[in-house]
Amino acid sequence: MRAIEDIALKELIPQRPPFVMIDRLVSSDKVYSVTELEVRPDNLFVDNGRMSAAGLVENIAQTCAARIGYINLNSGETVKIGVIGSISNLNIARTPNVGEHLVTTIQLLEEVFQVTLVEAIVRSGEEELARCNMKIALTDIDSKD
Amino acid sequence: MDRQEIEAKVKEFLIDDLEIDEEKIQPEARLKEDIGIDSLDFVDIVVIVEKKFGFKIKTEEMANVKTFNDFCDYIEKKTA
Repeated sequence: MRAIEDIALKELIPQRPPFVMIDRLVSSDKVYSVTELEVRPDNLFVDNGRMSAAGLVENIAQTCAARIGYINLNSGETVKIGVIGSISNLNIARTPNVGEHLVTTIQLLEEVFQVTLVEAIVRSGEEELARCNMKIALTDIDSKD
Repeated sequence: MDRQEIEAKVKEFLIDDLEIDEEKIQPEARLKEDIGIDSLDFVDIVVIVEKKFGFKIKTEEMANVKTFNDFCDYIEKKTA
């Protein structure tokens, strides 16, 4: 099993700059996966010094992608592309400012066939910025196709 | 839990949680074709059934579950 710190982000997720909304995968186990992101002024989802709600949702989706990528890589498979199936119970308490350091945690609630249901929380320090339930449907498409 | 209670609970979560139209939920309605349950909904069903009925659906056991009645039969057996 490869250690998370030895894996480049581009090996884990299919997204490429400037559409990368996570800086690194911090940890991933059977239930929880955690990523970090520093909100930079040149981020695609930043306008007037603030990251949009869409940026937070994409950050959550890419956290799910990193988890799937990590599982695929460690089982010797190619990284598959996942697509958002649905988002529910979305609550955005506040959108983050440039310079804030986001920590996104996803908790696996269920995995059936090719569909994964997670509960996601985005925090800045101790403050919860956003949460939702997200379903990701895994495709058979390799991310390198 | 008797059969009527099972049917009422299933109907309730299909309407409340999956936003299925009540009139689509008939005893012989097919889950996929008539009621409109897809693979995304199925993940929710697994979570809800575990919460409401106290067991985890095994996907391989669902192979012959085609209709609303089949689904209630399945829950009835698992909770007997």
